[in-house]
Amino acid sequence: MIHLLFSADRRFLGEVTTTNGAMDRLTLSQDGALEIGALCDGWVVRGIPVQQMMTVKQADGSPEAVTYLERVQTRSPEFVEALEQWAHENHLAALSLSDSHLACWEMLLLIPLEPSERFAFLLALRLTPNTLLSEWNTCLDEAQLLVRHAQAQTQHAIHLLQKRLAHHLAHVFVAPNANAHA
Amino acid sequence: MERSLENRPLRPRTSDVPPSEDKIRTSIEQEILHVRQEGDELIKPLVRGSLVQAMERGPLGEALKRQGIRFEIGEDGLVQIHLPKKYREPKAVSLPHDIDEHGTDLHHHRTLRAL
Repeated sequence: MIHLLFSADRRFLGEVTTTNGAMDRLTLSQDGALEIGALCDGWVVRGIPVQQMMTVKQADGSPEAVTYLERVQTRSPEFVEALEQWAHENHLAALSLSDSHLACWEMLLLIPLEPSERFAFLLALRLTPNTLLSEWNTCLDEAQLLVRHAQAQTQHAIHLLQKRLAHHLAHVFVAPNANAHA
Repeated sequence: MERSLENRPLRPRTSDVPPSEDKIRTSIEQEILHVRQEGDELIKPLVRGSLVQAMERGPLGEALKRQGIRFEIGEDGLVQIHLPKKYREPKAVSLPHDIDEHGTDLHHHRTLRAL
């Protein structure tokens, strides 16, 4: 299972892969390294910190609610639950995704969309049964084809401009030499 | 006699390039940048349109419709998803954010160890 982490404004921050609830690997995106890298640093050694609440009796016998931090080890089967709680406490979104949906998510990552849009498609993707994943593949393939086509057109226009630039520069560099030989 | 590189310029220095050539170079470079940015910006609406349409047709469109999920392009030009309540994200946990990184409960001014 994979758990994708997003910022409050839906930027992709990274992914955590788990097996039977325990963490296998944490990979942060560039944004993620900047925003939550420091928060995740001690996970493997100290565990993931989550808030807990308990009631204690005061000296006069009245109950008092006290909150404290508890660290859940990454190898614990309770890690996934702690990860989700940690994400909420840090105003992040953690979305789990089965391995069968992973390829479609990776395709979505390659399509130029705003973070909120990619997140919206991911929400729908997660709710799609495995039997319809080939439909998603087709849609995303079409979108990627559009992107490649548009990128090729842009590249062609840039190539023409670069040729124009090269022509002008060649004129500057070659012309004086040509004059010298003449 | 060997000539130093100082005395044998292999290419004209910037100051040797006539200002008009500099201007041409700058303007073409700016044009390239503009084309690149424009290309990037043009791709997004195409992709949005393609994906939103794809989400409405075929078995996938049917399945999403059955689940009450639909997409539309909002006034801001961005894709928006409409999800039934049952699929919406749970609200953030409501525990108070009054614990520092050392586990000290700032509200009650004591730590778990103190308990």
